[in-house]
Amino acid sequence: MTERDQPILEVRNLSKYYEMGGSFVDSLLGRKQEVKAVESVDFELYKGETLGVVGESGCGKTTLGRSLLRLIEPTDGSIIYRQEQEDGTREEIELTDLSSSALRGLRRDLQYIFQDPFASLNPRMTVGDIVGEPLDIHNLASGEERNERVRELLEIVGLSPSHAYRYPHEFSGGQRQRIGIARALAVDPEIIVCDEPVSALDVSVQAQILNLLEDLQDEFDLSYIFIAHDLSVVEHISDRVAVMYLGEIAEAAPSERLFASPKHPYTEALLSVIPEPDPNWVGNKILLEGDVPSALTPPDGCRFHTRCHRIIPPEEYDIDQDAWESLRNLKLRVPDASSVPDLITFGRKGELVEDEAIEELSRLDEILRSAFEIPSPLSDPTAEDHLSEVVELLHGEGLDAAGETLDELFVSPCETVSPELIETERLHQVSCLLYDDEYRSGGLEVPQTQSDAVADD
Amino acid sequence: MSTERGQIQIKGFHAETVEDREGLSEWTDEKDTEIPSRWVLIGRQLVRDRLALIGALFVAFMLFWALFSRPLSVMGTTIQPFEAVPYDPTRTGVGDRYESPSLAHPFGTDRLGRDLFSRVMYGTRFSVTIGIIVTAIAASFGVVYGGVSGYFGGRIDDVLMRIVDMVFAFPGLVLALVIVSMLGRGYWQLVAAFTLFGWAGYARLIRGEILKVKQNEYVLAAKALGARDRKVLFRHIVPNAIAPVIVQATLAIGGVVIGVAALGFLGVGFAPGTPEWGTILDAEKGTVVAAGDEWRWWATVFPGLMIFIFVMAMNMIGDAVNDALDAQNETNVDNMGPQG
Amino acid sequence: MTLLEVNNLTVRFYTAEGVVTAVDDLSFTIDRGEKFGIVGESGAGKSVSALSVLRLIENPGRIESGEILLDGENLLEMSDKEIRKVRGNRVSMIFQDAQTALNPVYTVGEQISEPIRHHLDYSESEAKERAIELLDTVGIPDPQTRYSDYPHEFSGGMQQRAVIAMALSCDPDLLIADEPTTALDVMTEAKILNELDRLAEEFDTAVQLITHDLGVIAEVCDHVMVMYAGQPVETASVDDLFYDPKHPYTVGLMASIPRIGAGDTRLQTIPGVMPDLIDVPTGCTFHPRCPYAEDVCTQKEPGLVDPATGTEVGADADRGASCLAYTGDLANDLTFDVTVGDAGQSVGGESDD
Repeated sequence: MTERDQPILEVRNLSKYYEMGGSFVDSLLGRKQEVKAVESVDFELYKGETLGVVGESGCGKTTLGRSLLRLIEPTDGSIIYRQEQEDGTREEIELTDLSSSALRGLRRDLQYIFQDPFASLNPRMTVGDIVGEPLDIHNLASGEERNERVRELLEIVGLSPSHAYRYPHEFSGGQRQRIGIARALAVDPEIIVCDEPVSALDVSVQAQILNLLEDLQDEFDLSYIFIAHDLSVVEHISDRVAVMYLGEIAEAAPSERLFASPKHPYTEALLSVIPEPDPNWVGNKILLEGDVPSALTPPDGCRFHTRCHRIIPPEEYDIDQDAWESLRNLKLRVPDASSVPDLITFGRKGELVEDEAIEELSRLDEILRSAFEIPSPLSDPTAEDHLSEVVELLHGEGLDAAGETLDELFVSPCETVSPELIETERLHQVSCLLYDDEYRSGGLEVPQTQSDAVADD
Repeated sequence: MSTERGQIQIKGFHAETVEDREGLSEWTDEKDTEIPSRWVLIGRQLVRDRLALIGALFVAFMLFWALFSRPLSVMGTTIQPFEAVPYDPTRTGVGDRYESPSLAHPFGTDRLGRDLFSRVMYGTRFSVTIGIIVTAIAASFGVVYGGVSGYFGGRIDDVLMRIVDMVFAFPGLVLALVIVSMLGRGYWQLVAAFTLFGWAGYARLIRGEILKVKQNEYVLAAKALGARDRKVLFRHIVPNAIAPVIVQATLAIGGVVIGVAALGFLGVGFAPGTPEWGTILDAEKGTVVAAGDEWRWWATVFPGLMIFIFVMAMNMIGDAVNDALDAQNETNVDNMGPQG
Repeated sequence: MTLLEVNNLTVRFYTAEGVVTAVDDLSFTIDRGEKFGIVGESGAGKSVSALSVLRLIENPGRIESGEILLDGENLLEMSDKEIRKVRGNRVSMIFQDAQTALNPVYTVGEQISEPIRHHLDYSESEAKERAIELLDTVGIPDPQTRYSDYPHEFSGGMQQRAVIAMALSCDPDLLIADEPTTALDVMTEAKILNELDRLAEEFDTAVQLITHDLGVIAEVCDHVMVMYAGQPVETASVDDLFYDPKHPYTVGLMASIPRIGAGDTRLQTIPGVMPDLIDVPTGCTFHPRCPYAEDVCTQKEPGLVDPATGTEVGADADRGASCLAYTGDLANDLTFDVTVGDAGQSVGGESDD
């Protein structure tokens, strides 16, 4: 990876919100909901490097990639591209301010490779026309020169020049992906956003394409933004990796460092569950609670707090993270439950119970604690008192009253404070309160290197 | 047992060996399947589908008459000098009134002694060409209109589609009737009347198709390359969305012919005496209603039969085109045998 | 004890483009309670081999020959009525796409209780009770309410859990899972695999797991069969397969997966693509892509042999590889090396019979 003084692409505060229910009537009635697909993302890309962007589906990584090139209009933020001039200096261009015609010109420098090799090639055009199209659009070559260039591009990506006269459907997935790469290369770009370029391909073909991308990077000094959900692919190809969760960057670090010692609890969990092609490998898998929350109603505070296994306990109680995690789970599930027996099934160890089984207060207390793995008693006497109060309310008045009390008495800073992206080491940024001096106290566990991470599932 | 990842490493599997060596056997992984173009597919389907083939032969037969029945001149110069009909279709008294079909007059004669065979065959020039011209204009305009609407979406789509809704709010034939009575009778007036409401169907059809096609990544890819909207729309989207429009247009030609005939029958199409099928029917309807002692069936049956045959033929062709393009869509999704 | 025995199964599809031999002379056995993996790339015939077990091959496909013995009974000779009693009852199946496996117009609960009522003759209320229990077992919270939810109200992971509940509803002997986690995110995948593993123990069910992901195979399976172009190329216990692969295709597959922590080495690849099953290469179907191929490979078709002795093996072989290197037909050795750990301790490869 080359680290010249200034990044070639600098992204600040980039956000993209989608409006839901956007029909005419809805907008008249003010019935609008926003999906915050990408929120306040900051990163930079250096010349010649590969920045991996990973995350689960719906985390906003594709939206991010597309807003970068303004294939979809970002809602807010700035994208600065430093274009190389004739004299070797670089001129700053603010992509979000460009008119659409100026932007069309810039497409020569910024290119995109798509995920689906079947859907990304027009079935009614020959391969030659597909690869030659960018040459036509930007008037880069015409006539015999154009055809010559098309043949050359096909050879660069490992296809035969005679393929120019064929149609996309005559090719296999891997070959089609090569055609897509040749098309992106035609304009001799500086930056290519690769959006899951290998996820639709078979393992052996995937390796061919990854090698091709690496070779091309060396040959043409390309910078890649490599979006993928497959962590082992990202680890292989990236110099740096940004991990996204619900539209925000949770952690960004040089690839090796991120995979060896993740700092964000989400990264830690995500890395721990990658299936390892080695039957003798025994990892401590951290299985996160529940599913990723809806982007329509992302959690307040840290977006990850609803699933975090290292959530910071409230300052006023002296309880450990595990116990607090259990309490948090209880607190989060109460509003979802339709009855007390239902609530119990939400617990990690929760089983179906009959109404009669929890008629007695002490029995309810016991079942609830074992369902949610809450220690009995809690190490902090005040917390224990408060919990008992909640269980009594649950027994006497039901879910709503208990829920309100839980919300009042047990509040983690993670639920209220939105963490900033903090640089803990050079180029290693984390968005987690565990690394914020204000919230960090001595006893908290932070993720260790992978091999000796503490299992807690 | 190990907690370290990436322990197993494999060395010595050299792909280059394969790339460098000559192929060991004749076998290659090149697929040499070709997809035929749309027109070839339609042609093949027409040959395979007997009914459609008969339809196509009928249409070709009628087109022959449309072209060669009478000399054709454009702006004073004659471009087609042949005259295939035996009599001048407008000349009265080439035979007696209501002569029944005979060798001299295969379809008989009408109330003014005009040769019905000449009239009916010459009539193809009006009916069939109006059908084709109306459909061509309406479909072209509809494709552009619906294309713009579907491609840009948003407010533009809202406004454009409300206009389409307005056109649909009028019964088509009534609208055509109103227009003709405003513009007067005549060939181009009729063309105008039918295109003015005909395009809306195509616009709506292609808009729906475009909404689907524009989801494809190759559309985004073209934008990412810096292509202008016009090019994205007409090079990447429309060619992939046009198939249903072709089918619809084929079927619609027959519909327009019926429409023109209907207006003719209502007496608002062409000037009376024009040998257009509907107008002939209108003039001869007396033979059906007040048949008197003898029903002169030939005066109405032959023009009516022509309308019927033409519309049937176009429907059969339309079905075949539909089948051909449907099959093509299936090969497009690449179900080359089972997966997995 | 053998639960399923497949002998010389051949399945062909008669398509407009030609005859596709999707599965060619396939034999394998699955023991009771065993977790049997089938791995291969798309077009290898993995799914077809699974669908054949339930006789779910549809037109234009046909099971041409072979036998499929479930507890000694040949499924291919059963009447339609008998095979329907097997499906969903003794053998059940999970598909890749849970969303399409669930019918959107019925509630999830109805779909789970349906096979229970059908196969086990439970009354409506008993079936409901059992379905709720199952939903709870597969880890769906609030099962009473969830029972009457429609599939679209479930997340992807939940849907797959519901499908698993459906598959387990009649306590099957064999559960066929066709790429059960491919459509899921890695976190959900881990949870589903975990669940599948636990449930297979709990219900004492044998699992036939079909996947392209070697990581999933390593995690779940006891025994693995590698398929290429409709044929089995290697069969081995999971340890042997990963530490001592014998077939060049297996080796290539293992070499081309990026491994975390393996350093920044260039990936090795298998050149070319899997052949179209209409027109497969002569001799060994892998020869156009195999770096060790020699002229003999284009003529002689290798059978599944014991790599130690070179003698042909049957369906129940513990170890088998179909490569001419083990029958003494090749002039050169297969020169690859499998090393474990940084020390580079060599454990396998290098056949030199």
